Amino acid sequence: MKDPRLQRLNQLARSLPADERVPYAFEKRVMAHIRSGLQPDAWGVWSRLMWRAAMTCVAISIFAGAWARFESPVSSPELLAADLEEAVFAPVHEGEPW
Amino acid sequence: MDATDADLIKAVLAGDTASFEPLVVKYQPRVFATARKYARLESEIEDIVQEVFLKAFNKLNTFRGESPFEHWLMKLTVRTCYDFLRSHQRNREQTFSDITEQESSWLEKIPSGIQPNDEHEVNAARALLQKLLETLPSQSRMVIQLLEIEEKSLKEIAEITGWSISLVKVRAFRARAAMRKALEKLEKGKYL
Repeated sequence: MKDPRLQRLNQLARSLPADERVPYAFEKRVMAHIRSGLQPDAWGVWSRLMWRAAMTCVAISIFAGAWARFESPVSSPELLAADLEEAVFAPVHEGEPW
Repeated sequence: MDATDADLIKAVLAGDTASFEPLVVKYQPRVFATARKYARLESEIEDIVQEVFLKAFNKLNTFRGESPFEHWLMKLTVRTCYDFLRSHQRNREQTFSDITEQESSWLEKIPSGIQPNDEHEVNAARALLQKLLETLPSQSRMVIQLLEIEEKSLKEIAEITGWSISLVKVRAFRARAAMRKALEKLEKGKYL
């Protein structure tokens, strides 16, 4: 069962008029906060750009590595040996263009 | 012709920040009135209201327009007030030594059911209620405010707070007990 004193107290609370007073130009203060939150942060922008650039570099490196691994004709030990021989004897073959 | 809430919200979402200002002007009295039910110091009330509008601006894209903007905003206000109560819970164990004579006289008038007549009496009754509610735990205060004073349904309270209906019932029971205890403590303090 409800306490009659509490019921009276709640009744009193309900009867009080709502206090809707607003400080002068409060909306300006709110809007100023919203606008300051929207101002771009220079260091934040710089950091985001750097991350984006770093990610692009990593992606290019991975792509270039993969391309070199799968597309390059120099894949067998015989071809590598022939290239090494050619490089070593290059000064001997003076007349031949590189 | 004044733009409707829907027009203003649409403009804000399209990037026109200034369109949010008429919404602040229109709803700030109600938000202030609600915040005053949960906080006493004017600086705290202003902080709560500011927080409500900043949240409303940042979360405006989550407003689906199924119910009026005012309902959505008031729900956000009550949740912000609850967060405020939880963060200021350390202050609730206070004594009633700072009760003024006028407030004290209202304590005697409670059983008789007399209503305040002028502005001074209204302020004294309001201050007394605030001081009494401040001694309650945040959850109890929330339940008393919504269920007993604003007379919201259990379903509405469950929606606002995110608690289940059975949890609201349990907390309402505890809140009434805590309120009774606080009232007894207040009366005891007065006559000692």
